[in-house]
Amino acid sequence: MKQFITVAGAAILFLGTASAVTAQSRDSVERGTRMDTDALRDDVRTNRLQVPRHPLAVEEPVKPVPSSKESTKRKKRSGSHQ
Amino acid sequence: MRSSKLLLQALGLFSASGAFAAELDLIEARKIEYTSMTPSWSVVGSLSPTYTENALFSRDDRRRDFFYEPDVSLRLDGNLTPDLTYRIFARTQYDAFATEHLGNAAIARLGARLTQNLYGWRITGQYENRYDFDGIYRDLAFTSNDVMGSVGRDFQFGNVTLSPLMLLTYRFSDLPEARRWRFDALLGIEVKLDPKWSVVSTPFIEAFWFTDGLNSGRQDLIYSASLGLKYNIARNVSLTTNVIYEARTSNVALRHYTDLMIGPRLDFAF
Repeated sequence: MKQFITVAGAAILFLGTASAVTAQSRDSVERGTRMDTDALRDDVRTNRLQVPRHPLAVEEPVKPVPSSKESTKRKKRSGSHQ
Repeated sequence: MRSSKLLLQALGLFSASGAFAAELDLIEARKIEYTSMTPSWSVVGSLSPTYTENALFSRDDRRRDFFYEPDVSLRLDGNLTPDLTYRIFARTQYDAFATEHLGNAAIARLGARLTQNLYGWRITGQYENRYDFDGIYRDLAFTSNDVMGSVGRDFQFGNVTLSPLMLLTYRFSDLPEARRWRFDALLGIEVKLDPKWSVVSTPFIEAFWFTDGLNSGRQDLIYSASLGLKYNIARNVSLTTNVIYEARTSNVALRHYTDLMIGPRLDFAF
């Protein structure tokens, strides 16, 4: 009888500990889910922000392209001088 | 005399066609859009103190509390082609509760993604290696590998911007209870009142299908909607005060809950 009580007690203790561990693991799943949702909401807002140009970033040269009207005018002007 | 006339006509024709060709070249040149291939670094994030009516997402044991949630990413963004972009990132986020310390948790993520721009739609494939902690980086609870695909775009109608996004994720994890499919559909809405102020809202649906462990067969649905007022401090910094209502239904009755969260969020990008 004593042996049975000891074994039953140990089994109950083991099951209790095991369920506490699994409950804790599942709770971390719950907490992670909430943070994932918040992260998606954060993405929606931060996607609308504009990252400023960094002072150290190497700027690629941008060649100004004259518009066709301006060039035509210039041609006309240069033509009238001749 | 006749020959000089012919010569003049021929010269006129050549000059005219030369001018026409120059005109064409300029039009073609203007159409070419320059895309920088140099990758750029940025630090993007959100900081928020938030009030919650249900700190432990419980159906029956509702506990009110305040929590602080920073979410910060370090990103490297670049272009592979004008329409194909990549991002490599490290991201960390934690929840620190004022009194319900059992709710404290943290996540660290490392990932990469490719985004193809197709007819104005952003089609993204993403991989994320993540570490979930109990407490604030106290004990490692589980590690996961998330594989995601998403489709999104921005629509502009006058002073209204609509940003629909759909996302499908599978989580591989060393914790069987964490393995699951997740589908998200959300609509970011922004109505500009003036250059500084906007009204913002995000209706959001999340669906979960857990595949393994004690959660095997569990299916959850979370519906939420937020309404807020946004103030643009600068082009890269904004402050949004939000009210969020969230409700979860599940085929596991114990997993039902509702929550109301209120708080300001400071968003920044440097």
